[in-house]
Amino acid sequence: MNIGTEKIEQIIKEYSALIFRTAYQFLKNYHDAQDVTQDVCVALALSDKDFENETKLRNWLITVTLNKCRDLHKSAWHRKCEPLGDNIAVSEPEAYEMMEELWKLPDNYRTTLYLYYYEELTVDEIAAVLGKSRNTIGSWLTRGKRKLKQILLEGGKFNA
Amino acid sequence: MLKDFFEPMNKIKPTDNDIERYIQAVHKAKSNNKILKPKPEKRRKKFVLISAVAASLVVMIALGVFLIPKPTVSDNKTQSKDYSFTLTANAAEIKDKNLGSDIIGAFEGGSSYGAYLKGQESYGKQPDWFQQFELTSFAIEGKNIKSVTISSKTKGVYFNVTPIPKIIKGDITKYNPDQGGTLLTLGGRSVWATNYKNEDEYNAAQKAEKKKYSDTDRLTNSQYTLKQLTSASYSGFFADYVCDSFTYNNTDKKSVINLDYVIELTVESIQTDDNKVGDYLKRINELAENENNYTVGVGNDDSFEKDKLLNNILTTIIKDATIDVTVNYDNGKSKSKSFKLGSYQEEEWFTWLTLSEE
Repeated sequence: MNIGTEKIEQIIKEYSALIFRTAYQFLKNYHDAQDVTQDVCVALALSDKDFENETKLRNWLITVTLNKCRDLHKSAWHRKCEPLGDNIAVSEPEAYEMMEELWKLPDNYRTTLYLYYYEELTVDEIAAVLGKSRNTIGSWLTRGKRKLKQILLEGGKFNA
Repeated sequence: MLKDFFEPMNKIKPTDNDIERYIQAVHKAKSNNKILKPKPEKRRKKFVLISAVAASLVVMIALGVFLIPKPTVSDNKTQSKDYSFTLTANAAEIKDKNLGSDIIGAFEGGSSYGAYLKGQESYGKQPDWFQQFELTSFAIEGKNIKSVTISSKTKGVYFNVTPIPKIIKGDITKYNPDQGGTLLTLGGRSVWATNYKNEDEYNAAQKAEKKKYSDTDRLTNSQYTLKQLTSASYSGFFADYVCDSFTYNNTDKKSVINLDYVIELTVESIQTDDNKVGDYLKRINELAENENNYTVGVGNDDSFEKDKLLNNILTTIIKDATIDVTVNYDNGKSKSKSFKLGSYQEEEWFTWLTLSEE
């Protein structure tokens, strides 16, 4: 049975920022992130998932978002189309500057750090949503942290 | 520090209009079960142009298929194709790393365990270390495969599997309701199973947990003999999970046998008179003296030198190392190939383990 329309609207209002942020940090493109956010909202509406609690809903949304981002990366459309300066749509300079530093990291480190430090998922939860072992996530966190520190040091944005 | 770094992320969010659009899309999808997604106009034009070129190519190729006479293929060739195999891994994923065209896959370390001297009897008489690598997208592809055996003759290179820990009835040694849990004995070790009232609950939970990270069904369909690591002085918990030969029985007759999530690779520090592994470990031990714990794994921000030394150990052990793959076919024949392990140092403190055709 599908989730009720009223409930869906409430979830979209509450969680669309999470879905959008997750997609945006992965895809590096504002309009693609919008498309993925819309797709995830529709997938939620058409799913017959029954979530036990808010945490399970949040983790499901993150998993589906990342899967759709990967699908988009793989698609012929995405490979053949070049971004046309879409990112100017993020008008907050502070946020865009931060994203530019973050995008210098490889995908796996970036997503792990974002989920851990910003969305405050546990290592086990990140392991489940990324389909990796908890040991791998532990390593990605360590290496990602170290690499980000290097990037910020080189850019003069962090003092040792 | 990093929490503050991520703070501006709260400004990255969809506008109210965007949210309204998502809601409208949901309404439309629920009523029609389909949705049309608007795309930026410029991208659409480019795609249409590319589509036109692609369509022309398809027509040309199709014509070629029908008009050009097909070369005859001898029975021998067909047969040899039916009884050959390829090993694939995450090569597509790593193509931007310029590792070389012969590289099939590059794997990064997961768990790493090191025990150093520090005069602690409980950690044995010599320092040692081992690192596990997740074999991302590791698969054997071929027709008529009955079984696949993966092994390594290189000392210090093993495959690790993680069978589901299982407790059999009668293992419960103590129940402590005050602490809300049960003390269970598992392979001679005591385990606090706080949330489980009995062994069945514990076993079911372990199985469910394991399934998140491991292909337990394929592991059940495999043969391996667990062994002790050569030099490591860890508890049986880690040492019991390595084997130097692993056989997967292809009973479901798959032509692509995916073995990631089933096996990982372990590289262990082996100290000999001919290598410097002992020296590297002694230096790590000196560094560990300055740290207030007995074991040093990955994760210490001030341990660049230690990580460089561990990289040296890794490259020493895998020098000339190979993985041997033997495929047994339904007709009783078999075919073997060796694949070479190597390394690619991305940073001073971080090395990928690579796999290539010999």
